[in-house]
Amino acid sequence: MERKFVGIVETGDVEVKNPKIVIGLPDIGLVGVILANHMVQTMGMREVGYVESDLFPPIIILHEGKPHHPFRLYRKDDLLLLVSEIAIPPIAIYDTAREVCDWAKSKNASLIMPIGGTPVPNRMAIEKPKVFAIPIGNTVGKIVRDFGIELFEEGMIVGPYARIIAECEKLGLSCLTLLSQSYPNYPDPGAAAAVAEVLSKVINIKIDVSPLEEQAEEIRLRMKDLMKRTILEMERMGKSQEYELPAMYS
Amino acid sequence: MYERRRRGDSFFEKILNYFTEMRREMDEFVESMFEAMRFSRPDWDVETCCIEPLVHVENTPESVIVTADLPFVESKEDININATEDMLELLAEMKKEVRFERWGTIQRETTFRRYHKLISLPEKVLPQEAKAIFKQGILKIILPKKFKTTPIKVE
Repeated sequence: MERKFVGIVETGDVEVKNPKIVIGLPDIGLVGVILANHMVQTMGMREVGYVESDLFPPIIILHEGKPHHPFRLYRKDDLLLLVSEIAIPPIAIYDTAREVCDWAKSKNASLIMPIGGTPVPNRMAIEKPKVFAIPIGNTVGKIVRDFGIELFEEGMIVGPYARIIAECEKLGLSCLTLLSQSYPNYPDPGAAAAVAEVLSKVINIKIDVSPLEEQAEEIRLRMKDLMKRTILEMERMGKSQEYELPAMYS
Repeated sequence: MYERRRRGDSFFEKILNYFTEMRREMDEFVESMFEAMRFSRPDWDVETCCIEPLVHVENTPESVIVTADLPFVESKEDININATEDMLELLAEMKKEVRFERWGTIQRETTFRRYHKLISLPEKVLPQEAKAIFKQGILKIILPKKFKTTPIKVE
């Protein structure tokens, strides 16, 4: 039997018909993690599982004296959400993406939405960051057109989302990656708020972004060390390639 | 001949595998050394209520650009920057105390009031010609390089 290096463990009720799955992993500006955490806290999502792997750093998070896995699964109604407080090590990226997408397929997911940031060097000068979409699947293309979301047309994606996009395409899963213009090296709650506005329209849920703005400074300070750790992992996976000129299709 | 080549390949493969394994072990050792250096001390100090900010150093052809994320710092008056040719010291006061309660063991109820960071610069700079701006909680310091390049004409 083939050994799996990454596994999703369900500890609560995850039996949902055609769920939508939001994914927030540490990446540029920690946009996905900030927004996913915000959704968990403000929408009253319940913890229903976790992702485990021998390839992840051996970490357990203590909250109110109880241990929690750093890469957790949450649910509210037909919305499932995966959020990680650890940067995915490059060695674990392929297996993590495969396991997440195989699991999403087994749940007959209607839409998978990785959320994150795309680096912009002049972020200081941008008041409201733009959000770009990478749609996989015909119906998703229509969503992007209907909501007038700008397409990420040319460029490179490096990291866990690159593999999730590739796996979704291979498995015929509908996937809408939303990336907001973000500081490359600093936690960016403003970028998370920009994605939240688009995400709430696409999946028709209410996300109150005002706490993201009001608590932006606290979020930036709390996320400092995760950002530092994520930068190291991004360097190891060659994230700087996202700045490189395209070699093909030009 | 085929057998001989195979034996030869096998010998070289063994050597190659040996060096590959040695290289991997060295990489792991170097990585663990860096890891130990990075995390041998926390980037905060309970006694002085100081925390290190996130900083990024960019080496461009003309200058060294240092940025720092300074949440809870209100204005440029709260920031002090000292520079030498190859070192930058950054101090900044927060507009309010930031308290972390029920966190860890030794650092329980830690309060932070200021940022402090010493940054080694990748090249010698002209500190007296440096410029700094503070916007949206991000500090950007542009330090012109001491050794400017001289253009060479292509004949």
